[in-house]
Amino acid sequence: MTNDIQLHVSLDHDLTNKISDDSLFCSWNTFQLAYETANQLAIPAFKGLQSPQHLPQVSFLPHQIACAQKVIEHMNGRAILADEVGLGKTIEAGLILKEYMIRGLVKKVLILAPASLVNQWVVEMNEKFYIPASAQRKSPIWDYDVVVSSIDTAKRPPHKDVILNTEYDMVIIDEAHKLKNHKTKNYQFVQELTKKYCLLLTATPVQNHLLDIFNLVSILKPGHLGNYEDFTQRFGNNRNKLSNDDHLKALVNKVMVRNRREETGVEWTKRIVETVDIDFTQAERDAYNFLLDIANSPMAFTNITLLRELCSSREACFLSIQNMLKREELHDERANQLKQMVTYIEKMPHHAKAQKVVELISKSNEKFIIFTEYRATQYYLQWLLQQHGISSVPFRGGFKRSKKDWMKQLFQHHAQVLIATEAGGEGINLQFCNNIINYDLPWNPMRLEQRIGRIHRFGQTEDVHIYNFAIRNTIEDHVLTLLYDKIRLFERVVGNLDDILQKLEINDVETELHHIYKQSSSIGEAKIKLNNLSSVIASAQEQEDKDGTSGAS
Amino acid sequence: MEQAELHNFLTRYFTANQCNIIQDKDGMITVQLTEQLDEQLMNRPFYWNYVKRVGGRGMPMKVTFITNPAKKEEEGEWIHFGSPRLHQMFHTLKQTGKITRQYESKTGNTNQTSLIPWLILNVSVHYQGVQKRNELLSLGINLINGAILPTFMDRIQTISFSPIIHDYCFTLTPIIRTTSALNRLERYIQNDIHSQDDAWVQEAHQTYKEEKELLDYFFQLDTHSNATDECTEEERLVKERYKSELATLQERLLPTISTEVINTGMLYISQQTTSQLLQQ
Repeated sequence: MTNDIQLHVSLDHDLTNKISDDSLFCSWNTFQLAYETANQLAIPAFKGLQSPQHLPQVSFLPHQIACAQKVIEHMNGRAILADEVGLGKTIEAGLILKEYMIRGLVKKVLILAPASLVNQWVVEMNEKFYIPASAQRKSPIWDYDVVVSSIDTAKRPPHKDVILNTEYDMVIIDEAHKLKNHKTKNYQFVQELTKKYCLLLTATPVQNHLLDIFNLVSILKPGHLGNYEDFTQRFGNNRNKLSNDDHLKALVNKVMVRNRREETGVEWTKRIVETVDIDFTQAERDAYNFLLDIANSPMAFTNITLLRELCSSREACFLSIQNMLKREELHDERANQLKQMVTYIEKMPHHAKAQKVVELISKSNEKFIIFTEYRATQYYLQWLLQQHGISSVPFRGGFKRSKKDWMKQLFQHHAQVLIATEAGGEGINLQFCNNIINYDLPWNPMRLEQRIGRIHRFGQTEDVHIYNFAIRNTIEDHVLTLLYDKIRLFERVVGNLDDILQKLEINDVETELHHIYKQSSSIGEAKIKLNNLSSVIASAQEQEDKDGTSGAS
Repeated sequence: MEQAELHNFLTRYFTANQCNIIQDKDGMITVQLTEQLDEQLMNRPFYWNYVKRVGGRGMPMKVTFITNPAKKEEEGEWIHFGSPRLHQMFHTLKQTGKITRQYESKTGNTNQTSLIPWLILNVSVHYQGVQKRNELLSLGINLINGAILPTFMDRIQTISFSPIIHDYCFTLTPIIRTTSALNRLERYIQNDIHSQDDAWVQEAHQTYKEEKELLDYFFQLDTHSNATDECTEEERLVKERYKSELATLQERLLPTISTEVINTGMLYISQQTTSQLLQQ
C-alpha cells in the first residue's frame, strides 16, 4: 500500500466510556441485526451497479443500465446524457444518482429542470427511485438533501447565494442545451456551482454551433476539449465537424452517452395519422368568402388571423373583430366591412369542425386530447362537448404548476377529453392517452412536434392516433397539405426539425408563412411558394437522414 | 437480500422490538406495532405530537408487510430490498444497536464458572478512490491475553447470550484496558488495510493526475492574460473558479480510506467456549 493516501483509522475512544454506560446497551438480537444490516448494505466491489437490486419494481432497459454503468465507471460521474428523445434520460440520471447515494458518495443534490418539469422530476425520483426529492417553491428548502428547482428560481435571490455557497455532491441539469451559450447568466450560474458529480441532460447536444458542445463539456470537465482559443482554432464552429472529425468525436464520446433509437431496439408504437377533411356549411363558406374578398391582397396580418380563426370557431373570429372595432382606429370602410362580417358570423350554425369532433369522440370510449390555438374555441368546445354529455377539462400554458397537475389528474381519472390551447412547452406527459386531435394547426411546426411528444413517448404502449382537422379549400388546408404533409411532420418520430430549420436559417416558420401570404397576389401564388418551402425543408431532411447524425455518433 | 431472507429479517426485527406478531404465513406478516416503533416507522409525527399534547394514549398501528411476490396485490405493504420502509428499519437498527453487554448463558450448569471479557468491535472500512467500496471487519479481542480473532460475529453465532449474568458465573477483571484494546484493534485494522491490493489507489492517482493536467491547461491561458485594471476582477473570479474546480477534483478522485464503527460491546464468554474459539 502506498503512503500517498489519506488514512483515517482512528477509533473513537469515547467508546471506552460508552461501553460502560448501561443505559446505552441494546439486546443481543438488536446487536446482531444491526451488524447484519451493515453487512447487507456493504458494497464489496468498486465496479458494478447496486442500484437495480434496490429497485426491483422498475424494469430498466439494457441501454439504460449500460449508460449508468459507463457514466459511473468510465466517466467518473461527470457526463452528458444525450439519448434521443424518449429513451429515458431521466431514468438514466435517476439510476446514476441512486447508485452514488447507495455507495454513500452523494448526499446533497441539486436538480435544475424547466419549471414545467419540476414536479415530474420530484414524482419520478420519489416513486421510481425512492429518492426523497422535494420541489423548491416559494419558501426556501435548501437545507433538504435533494432539491428540484427551475433555474430561474434558483438564480434569484435569496436562493442564489444559498445555492452558490452549498457544496453539492451532485448537480443534474435537464434540458441542458439551453446552457449552450457561455455568455448567458444561466451558463455562468451553473458554472459557479460547486459540484462533485454532474449530469447534463439534452437530446440535442449540438444545436447549431460546434461551440455548443465545447460550452457543455467545459461545465463538466474544463480542459477536456482544450481551451476556447485552441478549440475554435482547431475546429472552427462548423457543427458537422462533430460527425466528421474522428479525434473530436472520440474526445466527446469520453464524456457523452448518446443512444439512438434504432440501436436500443426500443420499439415505438405506431403513429397513425389521419386527415379529417371537413366541408364548410354554405353559411360558413359565405362568411369565409366574404372575409377573403375584404382581405386586400396582399393580405394583412390581421386578415390572415381572421381567416384562421374562422376555420376554428365563430367565437374566435367574432372576438377578434369585436376587439378590432373597439380598439383600433379604423377607416369607416374597414369598420363597415367588419360589421358586415359580424352579420355573416351571426348566421353561421354550429361550426362544422366542432360537430365533427363531437361525432368522432362520441363513437369512442377512449381518451382524447384536443389542441386548439384559440381560447374562445376552447370554451366553445368545452360547452359543446358538455351539451353532448362528454366530460372535458381545460388546459392552458398559463395555468399554475399545481393547476396543471390537477388538470392532468382529472383527465387521467375522470374526464374523457382534455382541451389544450398550448402544448405547455416541455410540460406534462400524458402517455395514458393515445388520441390527439389537432383541431386547428399552429403555424409553428415545433409546437406540433411538442403536442405529439406529450403522448408519443417512452412509456406509451398503444399506437397513437393523430387526427388533423382541416376545412377544405381554406388557408389551413393549404398549410396542412402543402407544408406539413410534405415534410412528413406527423410521421417523423425523430424530432430533429428544429435542427433542420436552424440549418436552413429559417428562424420562425410562422413569420415565413405570413410573408408568403402577404407577398402573394393570389392564393395560387401563395400555394406555389408554400410548395417551394416544403421542398427545401424536405430535401434538407433527406440530407440529414443520410448523414444519420445530429451529434456525435 | 432474497425475499425469504427478508421475511426472516422482518420476523426477527419485530420480535427484537417486542412487537406482537399476529399472523405470519405465506410471506405475509401482520404485526401490532409498539408505540415506539410506530413513531419510528410510520411517519406520522403530527399524530403522535397531538396525542402527547392532549395527554392521551396513542393507538399504535397494526400493519401487514408482504415479502412474497405472488401476494403483492393483497392488502398490506410490499417490502423489497429497496423499499423505504425497510431502510427506515435499517436506520433504526443502526441507531439502537450500537452498544451491548452480554454474558454467555449456560443453563443447567451449577458449577462456578469464570467468564472471560472480550471486547467486540464491528467496523466498516471505506475505500474511496474513483469509486467506493466498503468491507466489514468483525473483530474480538480477549482482554485477558490479548488474542484478536477476525470474523468474530460468525464465530460466536452459536453462543447464547443473556444481558444478565448467570447466578453461578463471575467475570474476570480485564488485564488489558479498553483504551489499549482499541489501540491494538486499530493497528490490526491498519495492517489489514495494508495487505490489500492497492491497484485502485494507483488508478485514482493516475485519473486525478490526468484530470488535473486538463484543468491546469484550461485555466493557464486565462490566468496569464494581460493584467489591466478591468481584468483584475475577472482574473480573480477565474482563479477562484480554478480553486473550486480543483477542490472538487481532489474530493472526487484522491484516494481515502476511513473507518466507521458499526457497533461494539463487552461479551463475557466462559473459559471453555473461549478455548474453543481460539482453537477454531
